[in-house]
Amino acid sequence: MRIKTIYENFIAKIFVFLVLVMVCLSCNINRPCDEQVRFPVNTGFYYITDEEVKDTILEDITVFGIGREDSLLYDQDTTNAINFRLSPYVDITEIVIVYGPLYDTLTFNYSRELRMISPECGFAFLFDIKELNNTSNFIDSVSLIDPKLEGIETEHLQIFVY
Amino acid sequence: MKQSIYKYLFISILAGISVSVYAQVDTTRSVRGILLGLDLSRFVVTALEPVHNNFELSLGFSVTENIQLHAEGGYLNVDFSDDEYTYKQSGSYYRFGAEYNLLKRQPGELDQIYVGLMYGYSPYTHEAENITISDGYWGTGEGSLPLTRNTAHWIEIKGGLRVELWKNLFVGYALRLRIFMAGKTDPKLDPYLIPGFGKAEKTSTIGMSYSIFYRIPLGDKKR
Repeated sequence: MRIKTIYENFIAKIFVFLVLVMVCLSCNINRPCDEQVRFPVNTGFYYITDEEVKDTILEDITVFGIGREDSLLYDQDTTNAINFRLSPYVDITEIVIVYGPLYDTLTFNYSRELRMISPECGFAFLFDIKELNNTSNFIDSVSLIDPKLEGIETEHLQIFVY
Repeated sequence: MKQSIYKYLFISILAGISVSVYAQVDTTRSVRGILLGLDLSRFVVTALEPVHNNFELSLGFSVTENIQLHAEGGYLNVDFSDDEYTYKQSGSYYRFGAEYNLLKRQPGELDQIYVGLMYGYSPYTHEAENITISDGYWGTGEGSLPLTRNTAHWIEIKGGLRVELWKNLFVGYALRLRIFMAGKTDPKLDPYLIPGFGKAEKTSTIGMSYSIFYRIPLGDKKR
């Protein structure tokens, strides 16, 4: 009986080494979620002079959604920009912005897209705003810059105040 | 004799050492033959991952002394649920290519250390149901992503060894470097894996298979 050990072959030794290295490399490492999973409406406040558009700082701003009057989406003493989330469960969200004693309501009509952000971060809704209406107590006008809520850096909405 | 075989088979599984045992050089044997294989490592994957009905078969045929054509095919299901969603996937995969034997062999010896190049293709479907999304302000809601049909194409470079344990019965393992080439992917839902390729978020994956083969001899001379 002859026993042949391929392990004694130099090529096989190299191969066995590569097996061990690659098995280690192919192990899965659970990574934390480092991506955005909520996509708010990033909003800036502006006013229009005769010559140009300037950003402006408003004091005592609060924001809440119709249907959730018991809880605030935003509460800040002084700011020139706010962000707030639309409801991911319906296609219309009404947002009330309170500026001191004045109230204005923004009505968003939009479509939603459910998407897996990543295996680590799970699912999220992305929004595409189709229509926007507003009341005008302290708001002069609004300008929808980017209707797609898919990123955190973009300013989506400009609100021009009196 | 049997004890020796079991001993060396056990060692080969644990340490990646393969050993062949045979009585004498058999000069009547031809390299020609059909090699039927079953990937045993698929059963390990089934035990470790939420993968079900996972099997892979292979078919090889020698065209020259050192070149074999190979076809491999497999099937799997993925099914799991957690607090956030229920995921279902099913798909098959196919690989075609050639292997080149690097081992200088004695007459009648059929052991191989080889490298190979293969093309891989997988059609698969997947869907997600009962997706629960919590929004800190607006509450909690549910959604689903319907079944979609997807495909993947890749190139696979493999290297391995195949050792005859008993007459025409081989075991072998292979390392496989897979490089994603193209495919139709679902923009809304990442697949848990691409059947036959591995984790879908990577453009290249490394895999390993451990298979048992039976060779149907063709062209062997009778003594």
